[in-house]
Amino acid sequence: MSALLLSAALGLPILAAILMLFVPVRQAPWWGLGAAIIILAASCALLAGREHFGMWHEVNVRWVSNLGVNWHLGVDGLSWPLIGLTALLVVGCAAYLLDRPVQRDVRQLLALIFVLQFALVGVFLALDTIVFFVFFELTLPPMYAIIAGWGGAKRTYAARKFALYTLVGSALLLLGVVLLSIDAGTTNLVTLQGGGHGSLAVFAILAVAFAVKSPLWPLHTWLPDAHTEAPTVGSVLLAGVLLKLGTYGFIRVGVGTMPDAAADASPVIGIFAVGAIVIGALICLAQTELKRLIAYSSVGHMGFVLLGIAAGTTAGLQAAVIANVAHGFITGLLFVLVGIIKERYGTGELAQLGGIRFSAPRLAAIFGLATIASFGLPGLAGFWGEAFAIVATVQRGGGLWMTLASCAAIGAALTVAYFLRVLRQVIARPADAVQPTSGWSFGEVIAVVPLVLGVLVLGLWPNGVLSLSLGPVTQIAEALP
Amino acid sequence: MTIDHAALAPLYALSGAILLIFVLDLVPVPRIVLLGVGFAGLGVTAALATTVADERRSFCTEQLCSYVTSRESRIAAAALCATVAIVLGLSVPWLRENRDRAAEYLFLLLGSLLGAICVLGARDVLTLIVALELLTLPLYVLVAFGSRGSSGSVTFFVLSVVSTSVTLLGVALLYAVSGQVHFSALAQASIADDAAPLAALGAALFVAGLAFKLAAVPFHAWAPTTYDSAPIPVTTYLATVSKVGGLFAFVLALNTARSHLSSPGALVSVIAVLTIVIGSVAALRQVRTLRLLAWSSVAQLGYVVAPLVTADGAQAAFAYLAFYVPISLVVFGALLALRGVDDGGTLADLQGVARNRPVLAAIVLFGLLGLAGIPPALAGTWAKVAVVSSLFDGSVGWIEGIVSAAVAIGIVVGAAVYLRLARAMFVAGPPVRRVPISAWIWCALGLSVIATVIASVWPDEIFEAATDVANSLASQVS
Repeated sequence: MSALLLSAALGLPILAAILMLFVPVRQAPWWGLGAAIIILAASCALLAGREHFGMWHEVNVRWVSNLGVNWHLGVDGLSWPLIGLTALLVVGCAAYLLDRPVQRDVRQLLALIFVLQFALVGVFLALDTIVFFVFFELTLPPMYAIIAGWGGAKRTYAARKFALYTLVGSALLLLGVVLLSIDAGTTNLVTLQGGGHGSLAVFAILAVAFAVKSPLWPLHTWLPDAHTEAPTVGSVLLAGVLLKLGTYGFIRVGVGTMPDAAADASPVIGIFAVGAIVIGALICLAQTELKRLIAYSSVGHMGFVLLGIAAGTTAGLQAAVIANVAHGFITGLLFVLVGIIKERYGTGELAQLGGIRFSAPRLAAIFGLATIASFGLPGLAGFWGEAFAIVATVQRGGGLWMTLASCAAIGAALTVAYFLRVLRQVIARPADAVQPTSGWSFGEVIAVVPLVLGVLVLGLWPNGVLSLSLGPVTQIAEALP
Repeated sequence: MTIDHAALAPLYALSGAILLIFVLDLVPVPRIVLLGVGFAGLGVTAALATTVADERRSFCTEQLCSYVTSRESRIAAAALCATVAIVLGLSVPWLRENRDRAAEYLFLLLGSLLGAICVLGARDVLTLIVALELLTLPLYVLVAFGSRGSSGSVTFFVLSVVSTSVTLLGVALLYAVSGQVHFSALAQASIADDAAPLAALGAALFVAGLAFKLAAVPFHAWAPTTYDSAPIPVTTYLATVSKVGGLFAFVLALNTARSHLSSPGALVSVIAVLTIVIGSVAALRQVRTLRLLAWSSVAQLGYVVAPLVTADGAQAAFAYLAFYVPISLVVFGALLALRGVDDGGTLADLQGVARNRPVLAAIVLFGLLGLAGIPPALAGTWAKVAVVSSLFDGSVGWIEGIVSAAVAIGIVVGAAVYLRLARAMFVAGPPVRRVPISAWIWCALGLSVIATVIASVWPDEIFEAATDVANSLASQVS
């Protein structure tokens, strides 16, 4: 039964990708939406049999005996929230593509999205270091193709930059996981958890690999280009899920397997994370283009996730988990909305936009909701992660951590500042600006509604995610010295 | 001197086929007959190689033998026959256009294979060098068959001569201080203290000279010109069969030389790091497709050499090459299908390929991902994982650290190289008239893709074969 559920969650995206190549072009997004919903159902089916500690479902089969690699997959409270997030965002992407003219063949785009989903789910399910690496690497080709094939004017440059940064990360990941696995004599992430193996050097290699992906300042410079040039669906998946590979890897492979080294390195990670929060916010204040601004805002948000990981307490890691999921929903929603705005108004320049409140009140309302959720208004999804990351940092005590917490709080205030600036420019300013060319389409509604619900539900009922992840997170936090 | 004819049976069969082709060339026969003899010769050779069961020794003195077939070397021989069969399949359209040269071509190609198979069993330096020359000599002519002039052939010839003389000098020095020619005796020879530097120099020259066949630094410079000017099937042969023969020779030489070198790891690490870095960086700037692939193959062979810095790294080296061969067949075969036999063209010539030839573009892409080590072409990923694992197995000193850093850098730069090539196919281009592709080529290409997929999904067989080969070669000198 476990094997069946896991195979369905992992295998259905690949089947969907193959299916997409054979469906008629005109109905392709409908087929895509249907397939995405079925995959979402299959992902939810994994919830059956959930437990507080340990793996809910697990398969473990010998694959490459000479390298000691096992086809070892499993799902627990740490990975399921991200699998569910991925499935939901893919539904949103497929819906967004309904009735939408795209350059090139929409079937290929959908197929690539499903291949990407396969790779992402594979990373979250992987319990073998090498299998983890393989799926991590497999996310590159489809994402590259999505940016390079369907992106904006500078797509070639952005895609190349994305690919090279990612490759640096995965080359380091390869060195790191091999060093770790050889040192421990096993590739099994479950037995590796709790520590006793690896060293500070190995942790540092892995940390840089994940920091590129997360991205952690100053390794973030691939992100704005990739997010800005990617098509809307690409940006949604890139910001919504791909960045989480880095933070998930940090928790599962980095901190989870090498708690001692992680504890030694935590001040450094914390400093860089706070740097990301403050610098990200300052950069956002200076942005003039809406999509680029949203892209840069991810740097700061992921900074909070990494700050939570650096704090290393149960509260900190829980903050990281919930901030991961919340950022996926909120930024996914923001990118969908920016896509809609850019399409209706023909521009993303803040100077040219204005008065959406008058010309498209519903769009303005939802954009406002997503924005205030993003800067962490209590009661919405973004609040819990940022608040608890700071709380956990304060709880660590001591001069360094108190300073970091204060700087992070200042960064959070700056975040409010730049988002309010956006709101004023885009929504409130009286409209002498460009007028919309169209209204809501059915697909847009289908794409936006689940994400809005996600933002609200996660904000009002964070326990939905936190109760799932509490068990594994406690285990990891307890192993930390 | 005992001669075990059973051990030599595959060589007899192949020689028979070669002679038959030679004779048939004297009378007008249809091309298909020549091809039939060629394929039959390969089939019989492979069959004989796999069926002879025990370890057979030949040309033995009292204890030492010059030619030994182990189970592993015979599996390698069969694999080489299969590879040449694919190369032959890729050559069929060229043979159709050059009927008068068909017999000559087959004669030379199979002759070179004969040399490669001899290398697998060679257990003394003289047999090894004669076998290597037999492997290389026909290639001078085959390279010159290309319509892009003979410059590639001349470069290849000159560098080959230089490298062979370096090897011979090394061998001569080793012989002078030890009086031995067999690998096992050479490895165990006790050298007087005052002669030890001479032995070390000889060992180093012996190993460095054999870097030529791998196109490793310092004898790498022939690859770009030669790859670009040879007919593509010959290039494919150079990238696959010739490299396998070269690696056997290199590992045999290195195993022999280890005991005479104070730090064999340092020598190999210099070769590996320079090969990876020079190959990857030079490939970045190429505009001609085959030159790009040539430089990238230099870098790839750097990864093959890299694990040899540790004493028991030969397993990873052979595994890497075993994964690399089917991937190379895919890339070169698909390029041949796209561009014809003679001219690889420039990257700009590939524009529009993705639209006009989507299946072939997908196959090239699959192969390039394999070379870059990126899934879904897992064969390449396993190869890279094996190399890195091998470097980190045991104590990790600064040599392993530097080499693994070079491997990591090479992976990133190499991926940028393959990205350029892949990207070139997806640039929009004018629609062109599709030239029909011969069924022979489709067949050869299909087999290569299937081999790569099998290596991706079930890599264990390759790893086991590579381990066996490495152990078998190591046992020759112990």
